[in-house]
Amino acid sequence: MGKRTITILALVLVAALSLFALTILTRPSGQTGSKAVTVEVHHLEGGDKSFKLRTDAEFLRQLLEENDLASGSETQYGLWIQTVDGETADDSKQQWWGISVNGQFAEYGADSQPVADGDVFELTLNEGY
Amino acid sequence: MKDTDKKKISTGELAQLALFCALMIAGKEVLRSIPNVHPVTLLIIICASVYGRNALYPVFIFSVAEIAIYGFGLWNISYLWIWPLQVLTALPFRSERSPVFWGCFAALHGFAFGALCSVVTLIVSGPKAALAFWLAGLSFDLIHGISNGVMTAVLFAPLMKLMDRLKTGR
Repeated sequence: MGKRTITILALVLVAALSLFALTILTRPSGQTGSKAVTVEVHHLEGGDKSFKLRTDAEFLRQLLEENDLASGSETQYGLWIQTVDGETADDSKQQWWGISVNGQFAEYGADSQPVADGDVFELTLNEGY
Repeated sequence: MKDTDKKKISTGELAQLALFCALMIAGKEVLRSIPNVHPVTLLIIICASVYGRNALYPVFIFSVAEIAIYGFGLWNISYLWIWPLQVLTALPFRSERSPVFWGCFAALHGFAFGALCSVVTLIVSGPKAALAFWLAGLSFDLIHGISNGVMTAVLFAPLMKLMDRLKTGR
């Protein structure tokens, strides 16, 4: 095995181990225990609702499902929210449910969005991509 | 630069480059149900090893075709420079024939893919957004790098043998 190959092999091993460590260290983790959170649902035609909930859910998906607030279909990235509080997003009209956490657009999907005490989640039906 | 790079592309070579482009698109789409597992980097390495800088043509067309398939978005900019970057970084080593070397090369590109994509986020949305973007995709980068490395280490040698037969006509 040439010197160049050994060098690049070492580089790959270092990169793989570093990425693996970073993946573990930066993995989102939720709080366990009783948490008080708010879920606000913004429908397209008004009639917004606010739900004050207590939960032990670590992630948003569990919180939504245990309160029958959202459903959808499974994708490789987790739950794709299609129906919230009885209103289903109409694909043909380019409608989609967006998630905000404490006023910021969510960085994660429902499966990996952590739930912390005092969080305010907003589920908003949007039209247009 | 090798002599083969300087002369005009022959009709035969043009057809072969077009086939490589088609293979890149088909290979990526066939495996799209498995996130970040695809033979594009392997094909780029083979293409760059055999055709030199002319490999930029199929790679650029592949990037544009992916944009045509999936639509416009910030990732378009990443695609237009990351795939050609693979060709440019492979060119200095094009005489290398070690499957382990190319497996490592492909793995490094896979590991770095998210970081390279986050450059666009860095410019558009700033360092915090770029860091969040990169960290959120780390597990996908790991899958990308490992699958790239294994696929290339296993398939580089047999595919190069096939390409040598194609070039020599035997």
